[in-house]
Formats: sequence, C-alpha cells, structure tokens
Amino acid sequence: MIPPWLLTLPVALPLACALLALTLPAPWTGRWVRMGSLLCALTIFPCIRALLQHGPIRQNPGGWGAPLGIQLYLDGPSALFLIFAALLGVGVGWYAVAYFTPGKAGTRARQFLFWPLWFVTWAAVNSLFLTLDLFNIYVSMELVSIAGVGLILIAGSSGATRAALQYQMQTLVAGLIYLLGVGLVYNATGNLDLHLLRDYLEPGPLKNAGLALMTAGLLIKAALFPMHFWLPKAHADAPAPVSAILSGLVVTTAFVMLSKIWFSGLGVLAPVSLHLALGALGSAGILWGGILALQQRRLKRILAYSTVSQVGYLFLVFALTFQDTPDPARLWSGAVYLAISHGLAKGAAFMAAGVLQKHEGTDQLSLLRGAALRNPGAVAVLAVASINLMGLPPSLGFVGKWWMIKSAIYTGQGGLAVILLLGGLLSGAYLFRVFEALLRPKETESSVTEERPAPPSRLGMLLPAMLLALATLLPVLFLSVPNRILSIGSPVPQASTP
Amino acid sequence: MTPELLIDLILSISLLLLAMVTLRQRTPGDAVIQLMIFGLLLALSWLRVQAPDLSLTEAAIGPGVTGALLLASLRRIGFHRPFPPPASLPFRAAASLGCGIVGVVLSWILLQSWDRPQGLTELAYQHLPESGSKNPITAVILNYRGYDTLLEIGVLLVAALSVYTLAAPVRGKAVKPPGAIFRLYLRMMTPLFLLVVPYMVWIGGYAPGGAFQAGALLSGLGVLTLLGPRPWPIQLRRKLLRASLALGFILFLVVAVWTWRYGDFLTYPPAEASKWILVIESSCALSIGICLTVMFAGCAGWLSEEREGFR
Repeated sequence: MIPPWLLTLPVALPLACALLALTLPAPWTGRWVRMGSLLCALTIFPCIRALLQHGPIRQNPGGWGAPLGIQLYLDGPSALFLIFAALLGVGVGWYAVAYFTPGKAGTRARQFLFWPLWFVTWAAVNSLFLTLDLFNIYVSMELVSIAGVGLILIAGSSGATRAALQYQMQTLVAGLIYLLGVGLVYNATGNLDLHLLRDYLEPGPLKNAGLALMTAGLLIKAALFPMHFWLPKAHADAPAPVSAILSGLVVTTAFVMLSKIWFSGLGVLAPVSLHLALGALGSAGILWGGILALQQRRLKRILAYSTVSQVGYLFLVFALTFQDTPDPARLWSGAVYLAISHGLAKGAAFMAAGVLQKHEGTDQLSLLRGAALRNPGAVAVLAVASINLMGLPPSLGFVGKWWMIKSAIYTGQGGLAVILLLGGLLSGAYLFRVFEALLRPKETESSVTEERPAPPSRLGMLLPAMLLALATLLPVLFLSVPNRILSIGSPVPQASTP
Repeated sequence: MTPELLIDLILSISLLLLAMVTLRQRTPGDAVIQLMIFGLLLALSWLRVQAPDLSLTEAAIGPGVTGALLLASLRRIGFHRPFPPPASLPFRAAASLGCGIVGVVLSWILLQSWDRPQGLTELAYQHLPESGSKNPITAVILNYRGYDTLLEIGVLLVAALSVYTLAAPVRGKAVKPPGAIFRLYLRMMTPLFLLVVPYMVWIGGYAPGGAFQAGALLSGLGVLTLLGPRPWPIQLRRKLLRASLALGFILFLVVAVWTWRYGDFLTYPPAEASKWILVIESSCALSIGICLTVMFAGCAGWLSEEREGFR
C-alpha cells in the first residue's frame, strides 16, 4: 500500500530542510546540512521501491486530480532524474560544507544563505521532475531561477553581481515566454495536464503557437545555441558549488522539461521542420561551444562553454526520434544517460575547479602550471570527469553518445553522426589543453612564495567530487538496473528484442 | 456610443500613452513615478473586465509595493541620474520590428480562434460548495491548486533572501528624520492597518480579497514603520529577522504536512476546508507582508551587517 502523499515527500523534505537551515543557529548548520541532505536523498528510495513494485504512480496534491487540480506522476525516467538530483544534491551539499567554512567575517552572512537557497533549488527540481501540470512547471521553474540568482550573488564580486543580473533578465523573460505559451494552450484546450492534453492533439493555430512559445522559453533556459549568451558568465563567476548546481542540475532540468512536454504527447503538434530545426541548433551548439571553449583562458570558463556544447548533444534527440528509429527506447535512454552523466561529471569538474581556485588563488590556465603536483587529487577528479565529458568508454556518457550515433546512422542521418564525433573530438581538444597546463611543471619555481591564508582541507571537498565523478563510470557495470527502471512507464515504445 | 464604451476607450488610449511616456522619461525617478500612475490605471482596467480580485492585487502590488521597492532602490541608483544613452537606431528598429511581428502574429492567432472552450471555470464553480470558500478565486488558489501557492510563497521567500544577499549599505546618504505630520499619520494609520489586514484575509473567503491583498497591505504597514521614528523591524537581531522571514512559510508547510492524514498534501475534508483555508491564508499574508518589508529594507540598504548611520 503506497501512502497517498509519497510523491510529495521529495518536495516537502528539502523545503523543510531549507527552512531549518535558515532558522537554526550558525554552529549547527554544517552538521545539519550533511544530515539533512542525506535524509533528502534517502526519501527517494521508498519512491523507487513503490515504482518497481506497482509501476508508474499517480498522485494528486490537494486531492482533486486533473483537470481541476495538479497531478504528480512518477515513471521510470523521472525516477532516474530524482536519483540524479539526489546524488548531485548530497555531493554539492557535503562539498559546500567544506568549501564555505573558513569565510571572512564580512562574507559569512552571505555564505550562510547558500544552504536555504540550495535546498529550495533541490525541492523545486524534484517538483519539476514529478509534476504533470504546465502551470506548476512554470512556478517550480521560477523557484529554481530566482534561487539561482541568489546563489550567484553569494560570490559577492561585482562581476558576479552583473552576471546575476543578466541571468535574472534572461530567466525572467524566458519564464514569461513560456507562461504565454501555457496561456495559449489553456485557452485552446481548457486544460493544463500533460496527460489529459493527449485528447486535444488535432493541430490548431492556438495550440501550435502555444507549443512554440513554451519551447522557446525552455530553449533559453536550457542555453541552447544561440540562446546561450547568458550562460558562460553566470556559470564561471559564481562560487564553485553554485556553478556545479547551475551547470550540472539547472540546465539539465530545462531539457528534461522540454522532452517531457514533447514526448508525453504535445510533440505531435510540432511540424517535422521544427524537430529538425532543434537538431540543427543542437549541432551548431556542439560545435560553437566547443570552439569557444578552446579559446578560453580560465578553467571555469572552459567548463562553462563545455556546457553549451554538451547541451547541444541532448537536443539531437528531437531530430532523431522524428525519423523512424529502429530502437526508439535505446535512443531515449541514450539521451537520458547523456543528460544525467553530463550533469554529474560537470558538477564534479566544477567542484575540482573550485578546489584548484581555492588553493592556487586563480583559475587562469597560464598560472595553473604544475598544479597536478600540488593538487593531485583535484586534477584526478577533473580527469575522471573528463573521461565522461569526452565520451570515452567506460563512461555513461559514452553509452549515451554511442546509442545516439547508432540511431543517427540507422536513420540515414549521417551528418548528425559526424557532428557527434566532431563534438567528441572538440571536447577532447579543449580538455587536453587544460591537462597540458596542469601537468606541465613550472619553468622557473618562483623563489618568493606569497603568503596566502591557510587553504581549507582538501579531503572534505575532494571526496564528494570524486564520488560524483565515479558515479558516471560505475553504472556501466550494471546497466541493466537503470535500463529496467527507465523502461517503466517510459513515454517511448519499447523494443521487442531484449 | 454608450458611456461604458467611452470609458473603455479613454482607459485604453491613456494606458498606451502612459506606457509610451514612461518609456521616454530621462531619469529613473521620473520613470518610476510614471510607472506607478500606469499601474493605477491598469488596476482600473481590470475592474472594467470584471476581475475585481486582480484589480485589488494590481493596485496593491503595482503602484504600491513595486513602487515602494523601486523608490527604495533609487537611493542607490540616484533619483535624478540620467539613463545611459539608448541603443543604436538600427538595433532599436530591428528590436521593434521583431516585437511587432510577434505581436501581430499572436493577435492574429487569438482573433482567429475566438470561440474557445470555457476552460475549467464551470468545473471550479461546480466544486465550490466542497471547497470551503465562496470566492472561486480563493478556492482555486488555496484549495484546487494549493500546491502551486505553496511553491509561490517559496518564490517570494527566495526573492527576499536574494535581496538580503545584496544588502550593501548606501554610503553618504542619511535618511531625513520623519516630520511631525508623518509621525501623526503613522500613529493614526497603524491601528487602521492592523484592522484592515485581518479583515482582508477574512473577506477573501466570500468576496474579492484574500492573502495576497492582505499581505501587500501588511507590507505597506511595514514600510511606513521603517520610515518612522522607530524602525524596529530592521533593528531586530539578524537571527530573529531570518526566522521571521521563514515564519509564514513554516506555518504553510506544517499545515501541508499535517493534512497528509486526510490524503495528499493540502487535501482538506469539505467540512473543515474553510478553517484550513483561513489558517493558510493568514500564514500566506504574514509571509508576503514580512518578505516584502524585508525586500524594501534591503533595497534601501538598511540590512547590511555594518550598520549605516541610521539617524
């Protein structure tokens, strides 16, 4: 017997943790955050168990159900994304406890606000993965966005403040465009629930315009080329744990929302050309992000442009599903794995960059020469994460890209396969540039080592980062488990062959 | 021409004109004042399309709270500092062309499909007796879609926290002590506010009104207090201030979790629904009032760790 409130737990608990983190006295926060984040992650397990036993779960907060109320729905893909958010949530939480502790007196108050904002982001992201309601998606997305603005501001530098303002502008505009689309769809169908909207799929000008506007809003939030202009500054100037959340979790969420809206039915409304256009934008993003990443001089900037490039991969799925792929389930799981593994790896990479920045005092590549000798742990984390970002075996990113290339070839879209491979080559190029700098010893050891405040202990930061990076490699050993979860209530038809 | 049509025409034309005038102001101060006037007219036009709830909220939030927040922020930007020069002409032309095309296409689509279905209005009225509220808007906000409202209150809290992170002091600008007239005004208005805010919450169950309007009014009282001789809300200890920010949301979440025993989140049995709605409305109003007051103080630079020479 599943309790009727089970699916609200992954939202309610992080919210409660956020409020406690806001009100508890300061000495408690560190301990509380570690405990609380573990607790929030553990609540996922009863949900997964219920899913495995009973199949997809549908629940109605408020008790009305669609169309009058809001429906929450747990299926295989959303379960995997909940696990993904939990991994990243715990990882970033434990990392940030070590990262933020030795703050100066003036910045302590600001840093203190990281915890509530981060817990709220986690709750809102979980809510996004679970909800079926178009307007509820808007509210949860605004919660994520405004918390994101606050998180960037924690850095306190004038560059970060400017980046936060730009982020807020784009995210508010994107949200309003999305909301306008929701308004049009509601006007045409009198309905906001994604599953009920399947009954209204004959094309009409209002519905098509609504879908187009919702898509446009989400594309800006997902930073798909050419709407990526806001991302590099925001993700590179924020403190490291914040970059990990924004680049790892928030951008992925926008893609997940778009695929939810398209694949749970409304995508039928979109003409073929729109599917192909998304694929084309994705391809352009892969190349453009990669090329710009090659030209950056700061480590965090490189990682931020790499996000622009990796987001492009995800959008190829829209162009590929339209063609009759022999194995749509494989393609769909490929995209899900790619989204999840990129999020985890990018989170780990930003965390490692944060450790380097704290210890070396900079993230300029030219000044990071020989950092591998002084910070072997951080460079190791970066290396493991890079395996996944480049799409090398045995990472989950490799599995995702492999399945995508296969369906690109099967459907006769060889051009997309070439772009997928080129993108891998580009990410190899910009990441090897990083390692070239990190591994090469300094030509002349400077005799005067300037006094810096004692850097925080590295273990507390590196351990969670390493675990996240390894989490992109290990599932490959037992891929049948995520495959099984993913197939439960998947929106994509399953292949007949095992 | 009926008098109603005449009023509508005058309203629409003045709204358009005011929007243009607002955009053409040279200094932020003038633009903010124009925007507040624009908001008042907008509130009137909501009345004309029979949306009194929206009208009340627009009047309280638009010219009221937003105006106060913008004016407080102007302490930092400078009331009379001119705007930076506008973008180049080709850029503006391209932008207006793009907006124009999107606007025309969207209006064309809307006019094309005018005979739309009624949406959920009928269903919302049908379940009104079980919802515990006689006001359909309150039923939608706090019963049918209470989960949305919970997250929206979260948005407000997060926004207040974000302003809090920015709370650097504004240097070299002491606040003038309040004059005798303001003191008298404050002394007279405070009891009135304290009477009207709970009334707003209460009336939301029957007629236009409710948590959002009451919260906006409460923040009005907060702002007046901050400007008065004893700005006690910002003299609170930081810990207490943070706790009071969270207070309304904590109440809401506790109620939401408490109602798990009736089924899901925020599910109330019809017999007790009105009671629960009143509790949640009060907590929402409290949260909105406190969060907006703190935002005002933050915008004005009165929340920084290093206290500004505050009178």
